[in-house]
Amino acid sequence: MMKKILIIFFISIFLLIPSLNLKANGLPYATYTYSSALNRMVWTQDAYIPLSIQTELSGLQLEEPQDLTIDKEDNLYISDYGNKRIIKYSLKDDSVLVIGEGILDEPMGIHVGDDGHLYVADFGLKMGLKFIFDENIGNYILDQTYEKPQNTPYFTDKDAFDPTKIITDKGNNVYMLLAGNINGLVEYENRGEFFGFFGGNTIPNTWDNVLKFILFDEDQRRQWFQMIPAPVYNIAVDNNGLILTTTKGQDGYLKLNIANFVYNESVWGFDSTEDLYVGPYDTIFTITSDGYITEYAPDGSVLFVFSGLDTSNQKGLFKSPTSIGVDSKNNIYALDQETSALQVFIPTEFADLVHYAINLYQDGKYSESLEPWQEVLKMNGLFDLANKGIGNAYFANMDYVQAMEYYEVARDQEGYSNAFWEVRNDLLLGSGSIIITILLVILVLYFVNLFTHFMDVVKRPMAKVKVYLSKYKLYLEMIYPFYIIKHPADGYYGVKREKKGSNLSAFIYVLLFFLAYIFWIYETSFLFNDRITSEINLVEEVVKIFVPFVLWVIANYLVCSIRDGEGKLSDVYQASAYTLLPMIITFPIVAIISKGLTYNESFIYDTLLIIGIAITVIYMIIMVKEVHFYDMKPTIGNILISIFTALMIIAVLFIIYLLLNEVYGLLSDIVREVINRG
Amino acid sequence: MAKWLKYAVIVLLFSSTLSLLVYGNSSLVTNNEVDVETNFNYINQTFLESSRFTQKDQVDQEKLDAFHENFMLPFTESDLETLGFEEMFNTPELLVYFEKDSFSMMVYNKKTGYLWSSRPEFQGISGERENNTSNRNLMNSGLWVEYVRAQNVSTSLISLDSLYSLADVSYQTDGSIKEGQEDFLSPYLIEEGSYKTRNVSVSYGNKNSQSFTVLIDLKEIDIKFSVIISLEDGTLSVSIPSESIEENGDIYRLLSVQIFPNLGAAREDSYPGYFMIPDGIGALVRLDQAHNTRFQAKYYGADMGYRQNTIPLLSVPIFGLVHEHGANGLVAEIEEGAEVSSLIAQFWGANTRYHRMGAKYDVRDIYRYVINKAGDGNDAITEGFTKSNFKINYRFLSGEDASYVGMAKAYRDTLISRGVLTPSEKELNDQIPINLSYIMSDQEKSFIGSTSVHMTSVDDVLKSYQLLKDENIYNQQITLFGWSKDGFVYQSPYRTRIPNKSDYMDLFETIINDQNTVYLDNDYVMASELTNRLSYNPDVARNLSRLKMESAYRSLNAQITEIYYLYPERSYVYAKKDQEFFIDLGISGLYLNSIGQKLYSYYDQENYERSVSLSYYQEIVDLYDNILLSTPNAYFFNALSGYLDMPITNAQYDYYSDLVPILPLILKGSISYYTPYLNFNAMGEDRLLAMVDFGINPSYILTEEDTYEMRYTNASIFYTTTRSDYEEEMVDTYHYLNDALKYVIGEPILNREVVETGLVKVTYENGVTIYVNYNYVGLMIDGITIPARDYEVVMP
Repeated sequence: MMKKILIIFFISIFLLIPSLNLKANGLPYATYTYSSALNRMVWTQDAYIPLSIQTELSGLQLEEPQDLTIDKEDNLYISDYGNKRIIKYSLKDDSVLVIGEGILDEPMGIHVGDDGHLYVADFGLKMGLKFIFDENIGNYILDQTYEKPQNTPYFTDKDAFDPTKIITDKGNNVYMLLAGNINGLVEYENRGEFFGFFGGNTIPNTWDNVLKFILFDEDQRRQWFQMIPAPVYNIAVDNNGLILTTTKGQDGYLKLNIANFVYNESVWGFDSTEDLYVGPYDTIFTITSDGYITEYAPDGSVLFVFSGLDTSNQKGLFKSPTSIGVDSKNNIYALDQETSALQVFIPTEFADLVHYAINLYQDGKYSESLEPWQEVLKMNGLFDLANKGIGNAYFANMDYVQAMEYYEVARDQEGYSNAFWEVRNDLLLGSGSIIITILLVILVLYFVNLFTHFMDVVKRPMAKVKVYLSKYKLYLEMIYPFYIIKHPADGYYGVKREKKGSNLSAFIYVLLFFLAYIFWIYETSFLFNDRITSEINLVEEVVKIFVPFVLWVIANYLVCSIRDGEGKLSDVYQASAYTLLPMIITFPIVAIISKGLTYNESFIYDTLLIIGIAITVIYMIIMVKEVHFYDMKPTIGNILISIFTALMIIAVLFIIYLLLNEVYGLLSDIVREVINRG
Repeated sequence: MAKWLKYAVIVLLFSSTLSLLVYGNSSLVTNNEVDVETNFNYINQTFLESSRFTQKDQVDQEKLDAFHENFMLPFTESDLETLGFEEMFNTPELLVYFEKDSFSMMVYNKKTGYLWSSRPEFQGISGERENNTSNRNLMNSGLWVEYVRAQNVSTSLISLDSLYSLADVSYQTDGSIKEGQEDFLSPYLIEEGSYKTRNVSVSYGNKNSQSFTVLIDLKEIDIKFSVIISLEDGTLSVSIPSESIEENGDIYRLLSVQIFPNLGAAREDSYPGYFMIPDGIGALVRLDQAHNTRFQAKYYGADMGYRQNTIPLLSVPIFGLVHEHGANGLVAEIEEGAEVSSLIAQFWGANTRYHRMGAKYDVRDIYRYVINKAGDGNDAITEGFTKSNFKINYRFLSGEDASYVGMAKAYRDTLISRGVLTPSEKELNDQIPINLSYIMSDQEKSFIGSTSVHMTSVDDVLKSYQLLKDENIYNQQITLFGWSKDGFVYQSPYRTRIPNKSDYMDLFETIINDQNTVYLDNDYVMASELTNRLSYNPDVARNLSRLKMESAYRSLNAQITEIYYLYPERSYVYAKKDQEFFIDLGISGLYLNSIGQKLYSYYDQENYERSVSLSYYQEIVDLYDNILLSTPNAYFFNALSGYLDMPITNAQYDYYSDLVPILPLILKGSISYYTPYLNFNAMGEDRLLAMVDFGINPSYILTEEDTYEMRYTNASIFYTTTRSDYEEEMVDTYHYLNDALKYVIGEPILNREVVETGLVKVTYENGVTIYVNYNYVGLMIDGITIPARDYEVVMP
């Protein structure tokens, strides 16, 4: 959900930004990175600059090029679909070699394996082909084909076999992606034998899917609900031989391990990814059909997002991108189907720095990565991967306080928790003796008190104050909810019949509840509270607390007065307000305790909070029962009906607001049209 | 005695161990030297040959020979007479011939012996019929009009006609020049009597040896206007006075007039030259390929009143053509009416065999009148037309001046002679200036309302100023942002509430006494819903569609801020109100952000055009003696004390072939111009070398506190500003640039030549030459070695 929102806002940004002196490098696009501190995309230095755009390679014209790959010597291989050939192009010396002419029909996917051989997926010939370089003739010859397996239960004669992409892994097994096939990739041994499927998508375990699973059988599910997993759209392999897949309609990419489980996935991504490729530092590049190029760190976090859709023939943007490839110096090559052009992007100093830092970081050389990360941070103070990296560096150096600081900046809760544990540990170990002493002193004092009653010096004035205050009715009313907690039935009766409560004190209680809530939002430790304090808005919070409370009181009164309830409006109001006392006590306690906890003890925080909420809910139920004098079963029923009524009130108000808006719009349109015509 | 010694030794040992422990512990200090790989050589080479740099002007000798042989116009005097041309002007530099019925012109440059034509020449040499009659009518006539029916205005129903088209002319031949039938005049010969004078009538008004008036009466569409052509000091001017335009009928309304759209048109790839478009910093489009596209942009940026949206930013009203680099070219300047003119270029492709470029005088624009919230509406035009006259000056460049350098210098000389540019670069102690912007504070949303986040205090500014002076940087220009209690980004125009006013005044005094300048930032044109001073209804302008000029800016944390554009009149009122306050403060002047770039028409009970907005903006700028502007258009060049955010690139269309420093060539020697903030420079060395190449001064934006502190304010768009991070870099960069540019402060550029790919030689009027080498290898030229990625200054 969060990702969808991000995507929508992200795309709409491109439509509406007035230029705000940020096009500092003169590019037709801006570059973004994801800041976890601010939970949003932030601008950053441009990482890649468009170098060139060419529609012909050394005299050869491309026509509808489909795929692009790069080998270890930085040669480009392009599947020139429209011209039925593969072009091997070297940017270094502008030399070109045509492969597969006469053999290929509709070459779509292309890959260079670890063994240096060329693998092509041909859609028209319905097979994968392996080409080996023959020194004698200076060109590639066909060595092996991978065709539709016969006599296997996996493929019937009717099943389609349309290969679109092809990759190989470290063991030189060949994987082909078949268009529309939901089982995943077909796996072949290098010699051509088919031995299974790999990497298909699974159906997500949403509630309605689980329900359908229980109620219907496989055929019914496939036919009526189209409950089939989405077909994988494109594939890539990384430097360790792990396979990555992207699917249209799903965000980002998935990285699979050899056991066919999802090993890692992108933290955020577009859902219209056209192609992906893994760079020399194991960073992952994707390009979407809207022309956005995204680079991910190996663990899936977003490094850079840039480029976009070309509406005015500008260099650096795309009309209909199909493929992306990266060479050993992180230069990006991308193919555009509509213009049949090859675009090249080169990394800036900033991108090189980030890659260098990531390289060290991913290798676990945290301390060495500190310097480059600090350089990166200098260039962009909000580049959160840098903050996380620096945090890890300090952690590895056992400088836990600094690590905590940087983790908080990077909003890395895991890391913060670990660092905080260490700091707390040190603190406790350091001050262990002091704590023991204090405890002993308290123990001693307690025993002394038993004999000498010196605490009466404190107790007697307190009792006097109590007596004094009891003269004021307001004080008695404020104290009353404590009595309600201990004796609910009697307490609520007191509110109802004995005027033990008042509207003023109820109001004070509601305000106290709000204050406790605010205290809780602001003061809870960052580990348990993901809200950014500057984004907390007074009006929003007021609405969040007061409106439901008021709606509940009103709805409850209305419903229960119809259904033979005894409570008056003021009774319901006062009783509800007093029932908030458990939460008023819980919120501050929980907030303060949370400051000393780490994730290892998160159960303490959760339990306390749940207990507080549970108590309040139980008391609410008891309140409804007692104030309206119901039996247990009708109480539950009436509570549910009250909640429903509250929702209905909101709905009705909303509809009225919309209608009024429409009326206003209509009137203003009439006025404008009259002015125009007249 | 020995006892004391023992004690001394022990104390010494102790203190040294102590200091070791203390200082040896600071292991986490950044070392700025991080080794990062460079890219492949061939990639670097391709980069230098891309359109982000200027290319070497080299044409195959074969092509040059072919050009000289086949494409120099061979018309003799008698040929011109046959075609109907009359000799109008005869001066030592030029001979001008004119033919009134088609409104065509031939200009003979006596210095080079080259004949320029307002028609695309060498039509039909392919031997086949190249164009149909209606296209030929457009091509052979030098005056085009666009008009619509008043009752049926629509952007898809605009009619484009030339004099010949309206006169319904037909030709003697089909325009092809076949083998053995080589009469170069035949494509232009019209059939006797086919020019219908009842549709169009062209006659002469006043005529003398320096100017003549042509009265155009388009009877077919009931529109009349006159064109005055004059020749003075080698400059050919063509002007259309706005009062001469008469629309007598009720049916048609004039939208635009194009004068000599095909002047200097080049056929296919036969001309070894280029077009110069002043987009951004400047761009060249070489005429060696079929670009198959069209360029159209309004001068001075898009007019938001019409809700236009264009990417190129043409900030100077010029354009230029070169037919042969170093031999023949022309540069055109729109002296009057640039704010209602557009630049149109059409390149060889499927639609035409010619590259052409010209200016269009937009008498009216079509706007969309919006009726309801869904955006439905109809196209409409204003009843009256623009009050701005149109005057374009052509200068014909010969020999060495026929290059983009010559074009820029011609325009520069014109501005100097008009007094617009005077030598007023900021100079102090023979050093180049550096612009330092400090963000003092900004507003952050908090629980109730917003709080101020203080990023830099007055003391911090003073300290930083002193620190830089200690590093031998004496020539500083200080700009302060966020000085007002209102905050910074989107809060302008700020209320004149300055905290610690006396501290600020002391700071200003210190800086000004050192002969440096200090400016405060303000913006009277662009505001937002966060601005405190604004009242929405009277202040926010309406565009011609009667909608309020507002746009929603979605910040990257999905907070939407509505940006508003103010009525120019209200901008002036606010500026006038504030004037006294600023003058009292003792600052040098104001830094006005949007006023230099945004020029729009608006609706305020009636439609007002750009020239009216311009007059208000000029009054605002005149309120202060010193003004800093960000990327200003040419109309503010006379008021500038400093030009900030010099564009370092152009729109980078894929048909641009070169990036040329037109703006620096124009401004060097007169105004100090600064780069966009170097904090955001991702290009590293390339940018610094370009700054030495173009003479651009450095500029940084700084805060004393970590940038991180303002991450929740709107100023977080400046994502890296911490002064301590940039201290070292600023000093190093400044001295790197100063060591080259200090020799040429206040000196205009004489010539700029790309000697080899990536090696540029810039010569200045005082004889100093600066070589800049963008390559990754050292190069030898003229007996001098220029190291890789570095520059070399050669004294005269």
